[in-house]
Amino acid sequence: MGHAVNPSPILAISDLKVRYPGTAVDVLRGVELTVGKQELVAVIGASGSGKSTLIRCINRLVEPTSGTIRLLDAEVTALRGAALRRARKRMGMIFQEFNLIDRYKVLDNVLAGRLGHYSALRCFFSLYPRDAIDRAVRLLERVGLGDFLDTRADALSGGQRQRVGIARAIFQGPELLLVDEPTSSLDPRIASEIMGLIRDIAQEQGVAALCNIHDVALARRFASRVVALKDGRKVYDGTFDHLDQERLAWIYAEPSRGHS
Amino acid sequence: MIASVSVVRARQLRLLSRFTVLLLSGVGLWMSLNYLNVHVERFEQLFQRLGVLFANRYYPPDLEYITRPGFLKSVLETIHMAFLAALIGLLVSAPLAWLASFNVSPFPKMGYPLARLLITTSRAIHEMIWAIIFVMIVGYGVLAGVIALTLSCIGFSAKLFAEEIESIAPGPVEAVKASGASPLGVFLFGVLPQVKTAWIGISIYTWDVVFRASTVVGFVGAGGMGWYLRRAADQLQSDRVAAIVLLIVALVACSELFSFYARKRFHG
Repeated sequence: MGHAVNPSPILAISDLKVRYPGTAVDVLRGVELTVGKQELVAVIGASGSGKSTLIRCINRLVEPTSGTIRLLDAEVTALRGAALRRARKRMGMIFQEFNLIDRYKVLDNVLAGRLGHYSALRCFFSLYPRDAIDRAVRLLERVGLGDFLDTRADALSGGQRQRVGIARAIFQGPELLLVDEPTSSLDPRIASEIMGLIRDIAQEQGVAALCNIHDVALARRFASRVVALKDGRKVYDGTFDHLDQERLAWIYAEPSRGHS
Repeated sequence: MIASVSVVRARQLRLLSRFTVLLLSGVGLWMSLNYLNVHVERFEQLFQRLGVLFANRYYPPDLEYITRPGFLKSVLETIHMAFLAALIGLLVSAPLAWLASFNVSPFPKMGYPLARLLITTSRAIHEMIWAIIFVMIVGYGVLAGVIALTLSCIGFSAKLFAEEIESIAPGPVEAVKASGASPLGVFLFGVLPQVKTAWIGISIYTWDVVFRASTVVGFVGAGGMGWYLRRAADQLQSDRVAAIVLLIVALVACSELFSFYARKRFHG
C-alpha cells in the first residue's frame, strides 16, 4: 500500500451521489474530489450543503447511491464485510461530538482506536501488546494529556475530550484523517488550538486530512486547500487566494432548494 | 380569526373524545361485572370472612412442617432452580437483545425478526404454562422447571435489555465502527459501556421475578417447593399452606433485600 514515492492521490472521489432512503432529493449530486499525500483539505459550506454526508460516505458510515471512492488501491464503494473493515482501519475519524466511550478511561479510549487491528475479545479484556500501550501513552503526552491517562473520559473538558479523539484517530495508524466539524462544540480559543493540533500531528505522522469546517477564517489559517460545497455540488476547489467575500457570500447564501 | 376558530374546534373535539373514553370505560366495567355475575354486596363481608378464615383455619401456621428435611430440600431445590434459570436466561438474553435491537443489530435482515419472535414467544406464554408444557415433554421434576423459568427470564430480560440498547447514543457506536472494528467490537465497545449500568439493574430485577416464579412452578410438578404447597392445599391442610406461604413471603423479602443492596452497590 501507500509508500512515500507513490505519486497518486490518497483519496479520489468521482461522481459521488447520495440520496438517503425514503427521501426524494440527492444530498450529494456528483462530487469530484482528490486528496494528495500530506494535504490538509478544508471542506466548507453552509449547513445542509452535504459536507457531513461527504465525509461519512468516504468510510461508508453513509451508503453512497452511485459514484466511486478510491482510497489508494482500494475501491471503497465495492467493499463489504471484512474488506470494508480493513479499509476503515486506514481512515481515522474525528467527530464534532468527540464520540468517546464516556465510562472508559482516557488511555482505554485511545487504545480502542486499534479495535480494527486486534480481536474484539482481546481488547475487551485489555490484553493490548506492551508496545501498543507505550505508543498510546506517548501519543497522549503529545496531545497534552499525559496527566490524564487514568481519568474517565466524561470527566474532561470539551477541548480535552477532542484531544483524546485526535489521539484515538492517530493511534489507529491511518493514512487519511476524516474530520467532521472538530471545533463546533468548542469556544474560539480552544477551537484554534485544536485545529493547530490536528494540522501539526497530521504533518508529523505524514497523514492526509479532509476536514469539514464551517468557520472559514479558521479554515484559512490552518488548511492549505479549500473545497466548497453548495447544495451537494462542489463549487470551489483551490487555495484561499481566489475565495473573495463575494464568492463566500454566494457559497453561504440560502440554498436554492428548501430541504436540509 | 379563522385560525382561532379551528383551535377552539380542535379543543372541543379533544374534550368530547375524553368524555367518550370515560363513558366507554364505565360501560365496560358495568358489562364485565354483570357478565361475571359479580355480587358487589359480598365485598362488605370480605374482610370479616377473611378474619374468620385466618383465625380458624390458617392460624396457627404449622411451622414444624416447614422445618422437615424433605421440605427444606425442596426449598434449596427452588433456590438452585431460580439461580440456574436466571443465570442461563441472562446469558442468553444479552446476545439475543443485541440481535433484537433495531439500531445496532448485527444481522438486521434475518437475526432481528428471529430474535424478536423468540423474545415475544417467551414473553407471551406465562411461566406456569411453559412449566405445564415442559412437564409434558421432559417429565416431572426440576428440569422442566428450569427450562420454563429460563424462558420466562428471557422473555422478561431480553426485551428490557433490547429497549436499553435502542436508546443509546449513536455517536460512540459510529466512532467504533469507523475504526474498522468487527461487529463484536462494536457491541463490546460501542454498545455495552452505554447499557452496562442499566443491564445490571435489569438483571437484579429479573432475579426477583424468576425467584418469585420458581416458588410456584412446582404447582404443576416442575420441581421445587410449589409441589408441597399444592399437596397441602389439595388436602385442605390450611395450617401447612399458611406456613409455606409465610416462608415464600420471607424468602422473597430476603431476595428483594439482597437485590436492594446489590442495586445500591452497583449504582452508587
